[in-house]
Amino acid sequence: MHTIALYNLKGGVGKTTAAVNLAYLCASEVRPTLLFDMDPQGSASYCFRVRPPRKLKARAVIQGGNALEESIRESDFPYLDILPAHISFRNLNKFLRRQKHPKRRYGKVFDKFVGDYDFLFIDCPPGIALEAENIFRACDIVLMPIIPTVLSIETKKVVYSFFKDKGLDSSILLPFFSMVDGRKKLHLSTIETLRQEDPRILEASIPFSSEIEKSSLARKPLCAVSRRSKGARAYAELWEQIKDRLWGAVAS
Amino acid sequence: MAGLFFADTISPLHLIPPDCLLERETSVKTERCLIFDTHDWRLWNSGVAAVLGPRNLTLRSLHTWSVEDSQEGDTRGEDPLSMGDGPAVQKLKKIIYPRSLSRRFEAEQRADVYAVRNADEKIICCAEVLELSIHRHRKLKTAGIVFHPLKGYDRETEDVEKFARGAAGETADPISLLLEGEEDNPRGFLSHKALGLECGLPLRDASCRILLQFAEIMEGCIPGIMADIDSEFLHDYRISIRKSRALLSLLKDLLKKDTISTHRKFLRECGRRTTPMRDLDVYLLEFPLFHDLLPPALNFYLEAFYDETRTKRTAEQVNLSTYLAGREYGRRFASWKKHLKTGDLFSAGADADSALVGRQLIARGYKKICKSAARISAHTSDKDLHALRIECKKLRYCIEFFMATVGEPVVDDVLSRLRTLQDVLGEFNDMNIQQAWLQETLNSQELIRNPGVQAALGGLMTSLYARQQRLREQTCQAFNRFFDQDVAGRIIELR
Ligand SMILES: Nc1ncnc2c1ncn2[C@@H]1O[C@H](COP(=O)(O)OP(=O)(O)OP(=O)(O)O)[C@@H](O)[C@H]1O
Ligand SMILES: [Mg+2]
Repeated sequence: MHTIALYNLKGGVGKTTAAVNLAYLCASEVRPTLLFDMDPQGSASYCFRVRPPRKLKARAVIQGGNALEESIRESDFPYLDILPAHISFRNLNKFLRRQKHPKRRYGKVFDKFVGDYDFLFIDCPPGIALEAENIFRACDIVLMPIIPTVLSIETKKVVYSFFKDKGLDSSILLPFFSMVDGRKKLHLSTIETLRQEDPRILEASIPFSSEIEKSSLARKPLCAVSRRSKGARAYAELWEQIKDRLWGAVAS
Repeated sequence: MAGLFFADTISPLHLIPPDCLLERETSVKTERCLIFDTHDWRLWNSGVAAVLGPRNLTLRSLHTWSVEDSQEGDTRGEDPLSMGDGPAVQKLKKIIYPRSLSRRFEAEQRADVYAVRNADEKIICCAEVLELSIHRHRKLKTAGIVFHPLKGYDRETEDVEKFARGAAGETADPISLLLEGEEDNPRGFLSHKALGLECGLPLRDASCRILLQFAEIMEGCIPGIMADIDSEFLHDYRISIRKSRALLSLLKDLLKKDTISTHRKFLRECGRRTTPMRDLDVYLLEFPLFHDLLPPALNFYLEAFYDETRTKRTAEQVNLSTYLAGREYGRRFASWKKHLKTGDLFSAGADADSALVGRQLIARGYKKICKSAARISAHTSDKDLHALRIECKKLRYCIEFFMATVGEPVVDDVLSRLRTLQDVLGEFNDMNIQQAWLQETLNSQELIRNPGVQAALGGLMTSLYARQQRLREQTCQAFNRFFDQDVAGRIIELR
């Protein structure tokens, strides 16, 4: 099973939208896929019209009982299941701190899905604490959407130094540009400088698009609504590059 | 997951709660298929239907019409059992054994699949709307809806199903719905097993009713016997005769002597006429066992013997069919049925309470068995054992007739003890009859032309004899187990 997290310290950068579309694209290739919504806001669950679970509280996630599997819901799309978020997930950090191995707990939790799923996508809440560290230790890839603005550059730096401080393998961290407005000169020049600085940033970038916004309102992944739209094509390209990273570019 | 089936077409829209949405996903075109079952609806009784489509055989659940087993293959022969071994055929054989399969009707089926969305417009289940109809018969139609929940939505789907159930009214399985009102309907199929005197009726009416039901079973079996569809037709026919005769003999003191004697003669005659064919049927059914009893070297000769037996049976079947189709049989049967309908069989005392009569008869029969069984030992002759077997059978029929009216739990207990006992006695007796038959065959010059066949028959007799001796032991034990001080006390009290 491949585990892919959508993460950024900053909020509102397009994590959820990317998680929803990438999970959809993955499942549409007949790969059993689970999208675990770990953000207490539950936006990813909302996007798939799945209600918050009744039994799956933060404590149950950490303890890893049956509630975890029982709360999984089949989405409207083949091969794609959703594990929806509960509002109590805001306390995940608190519960993690009480664990014996507080930094590696999520690895155990995710192991439960091995066998049932080929891909696990995780929609993370913003923030950088124990929870984020758990994610970084348990995932194969951490995708980080960044809006090409000065502030985002600063948060990116914070994340990189967090990796360094904790002795984590930063090669799993894959940033990509999100909500890129091609008409803004500042966006374009920021992208150029950043790409020179950091060759790990993925080629594919997600444009700012009203279709993407609208699809969030319609509670459907854009890729499921109009595969040929600009936004959908950008996610498809992003997905191809992620697969290249996972399996090496040998296949292509 | 369960399904709801109704007579005639439905609009799935009316079956979905108002806060849910329906969205058509796919539809499957009309497909012609053949539905198979045994004459006594064994498959139907086990909750499955055998459906032979253009390319495959499927076993479907009667509750959901979903495929439980399936097997691809050449179906042009229109005979599922000739399709070769596979999961569907294997399961089919297991259920129907030892019956044969016959084609019940030709149907057309189509299915539309809808997505059911809840108030959040999330799909919670798929609704499969099925339509089944009898080919070229526009009136005979049934429709059903089956809900398949998405993972994690079982509870919500149950609610939808509950709503549909409420909106739909009465439902049943698709096969019996399709055949509703038809003569050949699994729900209308009469089995002698379940027949007993009804409570709350005077003995005269209750007896006539049950005898009439036996007569109807006899009537219903005749087409099957003549078309030679399955040996069970003749078997059922004979059980109905035997039970009718048993009831008449139990009630003999209450019957008009002169009227009943002609009918009793008629029934005895029916029994006598059917015995040779039934015996041959039993022998033919035993051949697989014979096969196992003999060493491979002798099995070869069994084939010839089998063919001879088959030929004999074919001749008997023609004989019997001629008799059953004849004027004489028709006249006597019609007269029997007419008397049953008018109830003009009983003398004045027949308004007796059936419970009272039943208690006395059961107690009397039980006592009789106790008396003869007390003399049973490992040295009892086969003839005496046979006589005892007949007594047991009589008591068993008697209990089955009167069980409901007597309504004493101890009677149930005796019945189940009797059944176990009869299994052993029955097998013991079968061994006897088979040996006698083999002996008779050996004696008859015409059949034995080949020393190999002689050796095979001799070998068989030896094996059967050995088996019978082992059973003799078991018979004594079975009798010991049959008796129980407490049960005996309670039965005697019935009087
Ligand atoms: N490429 C895009 N173009 C236009 N709008 C976008 C784009 N990506 C996301 N949005 C919109 O921006 C909002 C925030 O996006 P999203 O929820 O994906 O971000 P997030 O990083 O998950 O936020 P949070 O930190 O609150 O979880 C949403 O309303 C979404 O529809
Ligand atoms: Mg989010």
